[in-house]
Parts: sequence; structure tokens; C-alpha cells
Amino acid sequence: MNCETFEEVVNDLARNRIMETEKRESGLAHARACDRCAARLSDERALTGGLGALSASLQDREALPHVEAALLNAFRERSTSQRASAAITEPSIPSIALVDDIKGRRRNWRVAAGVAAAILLAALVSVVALTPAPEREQRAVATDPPAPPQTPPRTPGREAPAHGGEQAAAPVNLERSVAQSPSRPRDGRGQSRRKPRPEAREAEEVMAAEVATEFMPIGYGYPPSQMARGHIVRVELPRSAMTSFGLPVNHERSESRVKADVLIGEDGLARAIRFVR
Amino acid sequence: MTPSFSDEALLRLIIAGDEDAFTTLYRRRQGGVYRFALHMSGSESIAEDVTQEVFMVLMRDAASYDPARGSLSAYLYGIARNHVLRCLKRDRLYVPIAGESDDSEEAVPEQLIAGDDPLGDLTRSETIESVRQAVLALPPRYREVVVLCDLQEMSYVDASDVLGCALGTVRSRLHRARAMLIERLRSAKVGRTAAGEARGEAKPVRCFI
Repeated sequence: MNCETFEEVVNDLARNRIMETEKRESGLAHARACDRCAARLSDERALTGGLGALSASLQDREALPHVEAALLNAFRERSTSQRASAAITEPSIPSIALVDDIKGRRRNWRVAAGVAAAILLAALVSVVALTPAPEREQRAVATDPPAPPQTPPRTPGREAPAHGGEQAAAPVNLERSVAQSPSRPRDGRGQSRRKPRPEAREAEEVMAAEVATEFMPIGYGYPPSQMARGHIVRVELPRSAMTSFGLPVNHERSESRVKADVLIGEDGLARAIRFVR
Repeated sequence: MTPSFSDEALLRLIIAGDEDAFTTLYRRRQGGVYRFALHMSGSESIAEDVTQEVFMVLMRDAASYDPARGSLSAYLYGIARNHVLRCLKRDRLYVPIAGESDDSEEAVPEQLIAGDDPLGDLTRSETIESVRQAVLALPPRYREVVVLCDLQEMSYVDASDVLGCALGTVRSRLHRARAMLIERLRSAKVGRTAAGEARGEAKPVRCFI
């Protein structure tokens, strides 16, 4: 090793860094033979000692506790604001209502899947049953309601989830009741398939004779049109209550009562109201 | 539970909003960051500001950390370095110039005396101060390699991650920086020796510091 190559290793030698043994030995040997390089190595070692002393003198120094406290406060505030912004991006409804809505959608999805499966099954059965006997097919088309005994899955499969389930349950189908449009093809189709009960027919006649406002949302819940299921409750309110919803009120008759339909969600909360005359 | 977690695991928890993880990582890394900023700036207030800023950045942009580009420690030092350099650029008053340090040490030539036990502590503290002043007088790009590699005992590889330069550049800068320090300390020693001799207090010296 010469003085030039010694200069390349002098830092690592003085700093006791890991290096190849051969380089280390030859570097130290050169320093023993060369006074100038020996002095150079001595200076480097003295510098290493001084820097080590400086480092050790500040080894215990660290930021004061108030820095940590400030950072933790900032972290908490940030977490809080992040949670708040996450809540804003979600629909602004109570979490219980959201869960209920999701459950309702899942239920609807199951019902729809069941209906689709039943229709497929019924179609398959009817194809199998009708193919060998064409005359039976003509009879079946002519006389609609009584299902032939050899095709039992057809009746419950098609009726139960699609219509029977909805009619038997107390909740009202909101798409039908909220919109209140008897001329809709869906209602018309449903009525042609089954015989309406007398009380239901009476109710429909009464409702057809009534004039009602649109449903107006109460509070900040889901708009009524986005609710999967719910109940409608007929109530009577002081006419002055209409002012809360921006409707004009004759002050001379403000003490009299007015009918209203209150839409109750599955969570039991009133979601919307409409006034009826 | 979090103290045994790696830095990267703690970072994932921090991103998820875990306050304990943040506290653990802060307590694990704040000392090094603070001392790096202190060595670089010579100012405690800057060191505190930089430490706070580093962890604020971590809080804000934790997701931007890329493990492929280096350790989390190197990432934190890199942020600290950028803030220190900005502070130094903004307020150069915190960095003493070489002439000032020499003048301030003229009255204490005894720091170079070897073998006097009653003065041992004083000698050591004054030696430390002279080295500190010499480090602070280095240009920032040389100062930072000395601080990282010698004072923080960081490997060349980690230092190259922090500084964003090649490993060979780190080695060459460190070599040059140490040569500058030796030269500066030797000059200071000559000045102090001359001042001591003028007062008739010349004593044997062991080396340049």
C-alpha cells in the first residue's frame, strides 16, 4: 500500500469500521512505515474520539414533553376529523337506519332470487309436463286459476314470495303506497291475478276519493322513495301543524283537525308525512 | 403491546388511526431526529420544531412512505434534513461562523492540556465544544454526512438513503468533511497555543484537540 491508497482507507481505519482484513493489515503496516501517514491516522483517530465525545454528550437529549403532547393532540384532532369526514361521505342518516336499510335490501334480494328460481322451476315443469300432451296445454291455458295436481311446485313457487308474502305481511309496499298511483301497471297486473279482499277494496275506494299531498320527509332521514319497507299510520293533527311543512293554513280554522298519513320506517321512526283531505 | 412492533407495523397502525402506535413510534424515533436536527442547527428550538414537523408530516403523509426506498428511520431523517436545511436557509443566525468560534475559545487554551486530572472534566467539555463548533462551521452538505455517519453512527447505506445520493458520494463527502474538520481544529489549536504562549501559559499538547 502506498500513501495514496492509504488515504482511501484511513477514514475506515480511524472509525473502526468493518473492512477487509487484508486492507486493514496493509493500511496499518503502511502507517507504521510512513511517518506522514501515521500522523494522518493519528489525527483521524483524534477526530473520531472528539466526535464520539460530542455524540455521547448529547446522547440523552431529546424533544421536550410538550412536543409529544402537541403531536398527540394533533393526532387526536386528525383522527376525529377523519372520522367526521368519513361520516359525511356516507348518507346522512342514523346508523341504525342504514343497517336496517341494508338488511332490507338483502331481504329483497333473497325474495327476488327466490321468485326467479321459482319462475324458472315452474317454466321447466310446465315445459316437461306439456310437451307429451298438447291437449292438456290448451286446457291449462283456457282455465287459468286451478293448477293441475301433477304440477304442485308451480302455484306456491310463483305466488308465495312474489305476492303472497307481501300481502300477508303487515308492512305496506312503499313503492305502491307512497306513490299512490292506481294506474301503475304493476298494481294493475297484481289485481288481475288475484281477487281483492272486500276490506282492501273499501280502503282503496276511500283512498281514491281522498286528495293528499306528496309525502314530505320528516327530519334528515332517507327520502320516502328510497325506503325499502315501512308502515303508514293515519293520524289527526291540528291544522296548524301544516305550517311546519310550509303549507298554507287558514288561521280562522287553525284549531280544527286535519287527517295525515305518517310513514313509519322499519326502525319505528316517523320518516315522512302527507296531509289528506 | 405495540412497543415490540417493527416501525413498518406501527406505521400501518398509525394509518388506521392507532394513537398508541403513534406514541410508540414517536418515542422510539424522536430522540434520533431531535439530535440530528440539534447537531445540524446548533439550536434547541429548531431541533424541537423540526422534530414536531417530522412527525406531523408522518401523521399527514404516512401512506406515502415507500419501504422499497429505504427504512422508515431513513425516511424520517430525510424529512428532518429537508426541514433543517430550510430553517438554516431561512435563519442563518443560528449557525456560528468559524471566526466567532475561534474568538470565543481564545480565553480557554487549557482545553488542549493533557494529563491534568482536576481539569479533566473541563478539558473534555471544552474539547466537545470545540468539535461542536467545528462541525457547525462546516457547509451543510458536509455537515450532514458527519452528523449522520459519525455522530448518529448511521451506515453509509442508510445515509445514502437519507441524503438521496450514491453510497460513493457519501464516502467521498465524509472523507472531505473530516479533512476539513481536522484542518479547522488544527487552526484553532494553533490560535489557542499562540494565545497561551503570549500569556506565558504554554503547556505540552497531546494532539490538535
